[in-house]
Amino acid sequence: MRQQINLFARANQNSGHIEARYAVCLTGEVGPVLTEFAAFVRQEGRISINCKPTDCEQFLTTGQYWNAHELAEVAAQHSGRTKEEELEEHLADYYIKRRGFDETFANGECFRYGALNTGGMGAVYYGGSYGGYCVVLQGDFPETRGEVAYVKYDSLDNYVDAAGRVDVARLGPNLAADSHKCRLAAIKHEAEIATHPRDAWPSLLCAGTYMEAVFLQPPVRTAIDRVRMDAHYMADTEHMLKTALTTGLAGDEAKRLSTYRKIQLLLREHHIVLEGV
Amino acid sequence: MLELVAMAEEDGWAFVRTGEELVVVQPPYQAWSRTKATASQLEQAICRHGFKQAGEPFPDWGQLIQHLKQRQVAAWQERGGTGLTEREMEEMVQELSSDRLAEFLDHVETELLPRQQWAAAEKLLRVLLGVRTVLDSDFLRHRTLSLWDRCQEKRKSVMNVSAGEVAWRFPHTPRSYQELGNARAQAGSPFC
Repeated sequence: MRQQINLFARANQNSGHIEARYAVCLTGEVGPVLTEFAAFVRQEGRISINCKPTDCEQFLTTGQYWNAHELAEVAAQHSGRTKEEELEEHLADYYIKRRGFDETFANGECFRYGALNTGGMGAVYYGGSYGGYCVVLQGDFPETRGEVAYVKYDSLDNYVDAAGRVDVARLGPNLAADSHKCRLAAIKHEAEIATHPRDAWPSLLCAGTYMEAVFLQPPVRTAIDRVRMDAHYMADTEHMLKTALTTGLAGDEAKRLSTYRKIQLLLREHHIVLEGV
Repeated sequence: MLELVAMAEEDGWAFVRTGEELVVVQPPYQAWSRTKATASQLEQAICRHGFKQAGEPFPDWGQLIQHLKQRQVAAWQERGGTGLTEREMEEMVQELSSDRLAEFLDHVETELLPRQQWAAAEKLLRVLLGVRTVLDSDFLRHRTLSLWDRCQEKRKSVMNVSAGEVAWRFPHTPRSYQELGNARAQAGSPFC
């Protein structure tokens, strides 16, 4: 087995390189704005996880958010098959690529993924965040700051080939430790920052592309700061109540309304704010 | 021909290939809840968000969406999911914002009353009249009561037809029902 890389140590080692690149960026015309942007990211930056309604409900119910390996483990306990068989079936065409990435890094199977978020619905995964929930973690998550790495772009999409080979040489300079995430963000957006007013910074950071957060600490319910959902979807769901109370709902609509209500109640029970954005 | 590429059956979300284009569809399956997607978003959905690869062909959107709805309900029921009770729904209404409650009143005024859906309008207004936010707001309370009165008046104006008028308008209605002068009798409903 090849030597596994410590992703977090590699991110830490890149700090000097980021400092140097950031210093160069500051000498340009947008230097003062970039300084402000970096301060904004340092102040407001949180890790967020986008999830489907059922996943959000499950996270709030069980208090735990499982990654693909843990889900495969649970599935294996019920099916009698091995965890690897479950994972292979689930990841289908992407099994080799995903497995290759996990095996390149120490504790790769324990990695969890999120996005660096300063407001809004977080990483726009499905061509639109409509219908999903964005779970925003507390500012001090993860507790072990040395076990989080920020990647300039989505890791799986940008630094791994179909055979599962990670382009470590290209990934390395695009990694940041927690202390340098704001400077990496500033470097990434140097070219666009001048055309984005301050209120557009959250979507600049998390629209189209996003900065990925890879971390080890399992997020638990108490680590949740707030949950956001698309305001349009929230309105549409609440309007279903009119039909529900008068003519009744079809099965799929009843499910949607019921899941929304369950999430509302769980959030209230655990004193977590639900925001429509 | 459409291809269901991947789906998250418990939420009814799906990646669908329509010729060259890849789109994501989500409930309530309206044009605005359908968005273009990329191959990398599909990959992320499968690798990180629990979507399952499907690869099933469908002749049209109607059948595909029907399939998604059925799978969604089946997965929900398998997990023990049940719909909300009337009481739970009324509790939800209690928590709605005043803006949303005003939209509900708009619905009564512009949709239910013009369509003569009296029972639905009354049901909704009755629920709204039990909502604290409505009772505490002069504007919402008056509007709800005013719509309630309008609903009663309109309903009465349709129902208060004399037996003679029913007999004249609907000669085939049995005499006993003509005398009821109710909506069903007016329509000559064959419930005798």
